[in-house]
Amino acid sequence: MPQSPAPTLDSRRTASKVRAEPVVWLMGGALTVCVAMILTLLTLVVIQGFATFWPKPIDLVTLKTGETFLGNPLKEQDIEQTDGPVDENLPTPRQRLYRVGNRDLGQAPFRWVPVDQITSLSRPKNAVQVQRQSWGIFLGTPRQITQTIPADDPDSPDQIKILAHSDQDDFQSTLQVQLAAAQKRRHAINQLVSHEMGKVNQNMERLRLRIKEAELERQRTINSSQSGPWLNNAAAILLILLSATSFLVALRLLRTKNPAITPTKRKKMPGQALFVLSLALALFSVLESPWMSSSMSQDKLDSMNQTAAVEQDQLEQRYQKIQQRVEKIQNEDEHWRIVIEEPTTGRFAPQSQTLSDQPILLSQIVRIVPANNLNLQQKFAVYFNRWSEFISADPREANTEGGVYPVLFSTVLLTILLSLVVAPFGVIAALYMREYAKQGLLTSIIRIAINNLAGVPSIVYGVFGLGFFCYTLGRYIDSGPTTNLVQSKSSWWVLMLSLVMILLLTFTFSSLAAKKYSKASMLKKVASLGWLAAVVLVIALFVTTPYFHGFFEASLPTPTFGTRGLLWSVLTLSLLTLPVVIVSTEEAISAVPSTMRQGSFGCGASKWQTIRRIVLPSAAPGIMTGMILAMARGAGEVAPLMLVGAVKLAPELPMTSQPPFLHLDRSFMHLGLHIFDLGFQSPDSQAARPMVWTSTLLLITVVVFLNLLAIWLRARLRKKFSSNHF
Amino acid sequence: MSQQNATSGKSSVLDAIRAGEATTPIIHDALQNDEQVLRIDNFSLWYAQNQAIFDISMNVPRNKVTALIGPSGCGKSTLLRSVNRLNDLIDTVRTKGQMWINDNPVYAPEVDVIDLRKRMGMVFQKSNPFPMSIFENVVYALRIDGQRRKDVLEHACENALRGAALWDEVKDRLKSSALGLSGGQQQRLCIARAIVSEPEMLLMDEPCSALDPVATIKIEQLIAEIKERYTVLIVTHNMQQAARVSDNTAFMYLGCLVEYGQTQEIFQRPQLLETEQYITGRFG
Ligand SMILES: Nc1ncnc2c1ncn2[C@@H]1O[C@H](COP(=O)(O)OP(=O)(O)OP(=O)(O)O)[C@@H](O)[C@H]1O
Ligand SMILES: [Mg+2]
Repeated sequence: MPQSPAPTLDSRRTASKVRAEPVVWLMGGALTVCVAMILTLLTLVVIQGFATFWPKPIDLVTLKTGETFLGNPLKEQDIEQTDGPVDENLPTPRQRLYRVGNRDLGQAPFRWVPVDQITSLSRPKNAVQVQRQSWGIFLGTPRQITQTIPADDPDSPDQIKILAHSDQDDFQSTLQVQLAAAQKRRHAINQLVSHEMGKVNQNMERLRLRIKEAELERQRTINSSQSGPWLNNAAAILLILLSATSFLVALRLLRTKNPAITPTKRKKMPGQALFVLSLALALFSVLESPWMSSSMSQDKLDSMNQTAAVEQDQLEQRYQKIQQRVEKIQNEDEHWRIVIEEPTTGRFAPQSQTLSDQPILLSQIVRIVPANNLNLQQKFAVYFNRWSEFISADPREANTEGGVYPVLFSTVLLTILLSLVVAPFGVIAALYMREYAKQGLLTSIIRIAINNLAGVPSIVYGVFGLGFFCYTLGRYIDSGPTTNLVQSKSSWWVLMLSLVMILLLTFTFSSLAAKKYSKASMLKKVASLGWLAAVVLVIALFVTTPYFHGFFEASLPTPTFGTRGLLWSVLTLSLLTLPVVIVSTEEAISAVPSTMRQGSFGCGASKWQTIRRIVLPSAAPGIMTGMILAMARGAGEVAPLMLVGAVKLAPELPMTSQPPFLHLDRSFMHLGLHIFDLGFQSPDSQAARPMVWTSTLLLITVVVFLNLLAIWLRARLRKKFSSNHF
Repeated sequence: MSQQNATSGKSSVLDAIRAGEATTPIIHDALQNDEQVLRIDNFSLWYAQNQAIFDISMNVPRNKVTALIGPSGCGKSTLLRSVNRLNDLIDTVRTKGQMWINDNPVYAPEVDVIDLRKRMGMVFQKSNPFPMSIFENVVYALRIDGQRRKDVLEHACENALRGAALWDEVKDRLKSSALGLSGGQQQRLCIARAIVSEPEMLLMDEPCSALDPVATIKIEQLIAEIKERYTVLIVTHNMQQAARVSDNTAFMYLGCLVEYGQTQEIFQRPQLLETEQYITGRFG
């Protein structure tokens, strides 16, 4: 047989079209672009964010006009020439941006200067940048530190003693000592005002609420004394009797005579469920306590009023005392001043814009940075000092200066609370959908709906949160059901009784359905309809109850929960992130191999035991992935928060050492909103711009940190539940 | 039950089954006297519209190994899973007929399925250890029963592992993950898990199909040992294995029982030619 020549390698080469090389290149290119964009973003944020706190040099600039000023050079750029022909040969004129501060002296804090106008430039060693409690920075040269010594005779003027002059060698050390002392005084004042006075105020408020509550109670007593309480008592007893009977009936029904199986175990679950339910019913009626007709007699109210008046007096005295102490320190504090001159007009930094003839108080100064006179080590010291202030201090000056501690704290708290709420809800929902619900049309529709919910614009959730959580649920918590819905007592009791009857019927039906082995769909349908009716009735009961007047009725019209707050923000964000968790949990659950489930069932495990011991642990890493995604989304979300709870400036943290420790009703600050507020809403947004970068950097860090935490947790779970065996 | 078909030379019974006609299974007389644990009584099963088991009646004697053989897809696994009602997990399954365990019905409304399953151990074709420690795997059945006492659990664990001939290999690593065991060890672990609660019956669905000869022999020895205490119902594709381990053998075809008798009889003097052909591999 003649051998045909083997085909050469060349002729067999696969066409590049088949190998799709251009597509590969395209995909690679797209990836590169994506990575490059993300990297650029990150680099920008990191560079800008980290540069903010580095001390900038101070230039002493003299212009052709003879004017001199001090300024931090920020950037330089070409002057855009809009009119006239442009001469190509001449170098384009440039201009430089200086931050000149000294806003309280009436000048704009930033200044563009054409470079060719500058005649001389120097960096004087003694120029300082003063960071103050208010009015932004001040640039100038310190002259002297003074102490006012009040004269004994009130008519003669006070003496002013110069503690140190800038020519003296010990000026720096005196300055440091006096600054520290002044800061201590300021701290003491703050402490007194915010803590001591705050406590007194809080107690006064509590007192007021107590009296108000008692008065409302008295009002109700007067109103309700017409109808006898015996009706309510009878109804309540009937209710409890009914619950008990339903319990007994169910037990009878569920007692299984089981010849096939050793009669050691009886089905206890439904009986237990019913028991819990009747217990809940009993508890419900106890809490509503209709038989305890409110009994606030006039005498009792009067005596309460008297004790309250005494307490009020004591509190007021304490308040006075604290105020005196504050005033004393303040008076003392006013004696210590520093004169810092600026070169333009030779004026000094004033105490305030209105008191421009008084030099600034030492205690108004946060930090004095002699930026031109620092070696590298000192610069780093200033740098880290400012970072620690940023992390740990409260914001000042409409958030543009100082720290972001409350913002950071609230953001992290919000995110953690969010994951605590969303995890159980999402996992339970997904479990039900995947494990218990019948996989039919309805389940598919619900699943698709949930998937699409992830794409709903977040502001929609915000609107929903405001409308439903704050204004509906919150108001209910505050003041009970709205008066036009409240039923008369007897009709309310009829509702209550019908609820119990429905529950009873439902239980009978569902236990009958459970007894039948396979086909009992009719009974099941009736039972589930009964459940639905019961749920509706329970809601109706809550909405129309004549016995509940809200938990915070006394503090109305100031709403407590009926307004924007942490709780509603957490719930709104959970709603927003729920789809993410549900979808990933469902995926994780369905990825658990069915052989494992069968093994568990084969061992005689119930469905719930299989889920708890096999399915959930194996799905835990996947669930964690969903949590990570949800957290990342929740932490960065701003739009809905602006509607349901985040504010520019919250007076107090949502978590304090005062009971109830976690103040879910308070509004709070959020890093996302903070950034927006800094960049676009602040009066001096140019000065705030570096802070925007730094806050952004912080936000990214927080999100990354929280995610790392979750990823670490997931890795631990993975290690626990997986193997390297194939 | 005479030898009517053994000499006919044609697969008339199988043809009849294929044609969907009703056939009478050949059940050897020697089985009538044994004491039964499980009695299957005219049992049929449908997956939605497809019938997978046709009217099977057979008895499984106590403390014996009963093997189910038959070509792939003939419903062996389905029958096995029907015994402990594992098929209930599939929504579409419908059943007719009854099974009796110690003369108590299996398919009755008042039966507690969970309790039923607890009284039977099940070993699957593919080993399926749970993602937890070896110890926890073995005592799983006790744990879900609410057993918390450590000494009881440890004792039961050791017994079960010894019973599954795995104790010596894993006694030093009880706390490490079960997924780190070899395939054969995993299968023996599953056997240990199935026998830890001292079940009355052990249901095994091709327990050796994924194992090498050495591990297979180990498990076969194991089956021979544990039949002293348990009744074993085993599905296997391996004729030699069926011959080696089982006392009785049932041959199934397309959801029907064809012949059922003592293993020696079935393998040496089958009453049906088809059975012989299947066993010798000349068919299927
Ligand atoms: N979950 C299911 N849903 C629908 N049909 C099924 C299902 N499981 C099995 N069947 C069908 O039932 C019939 C019997 O299957 P079964 O698994 O019992 O066969 P088998 O004898 O165990 O086969 P093998 O030896 O290959 O394991 C087959 O036709 C199969 O397609
Ligand atoms: Mg099978």
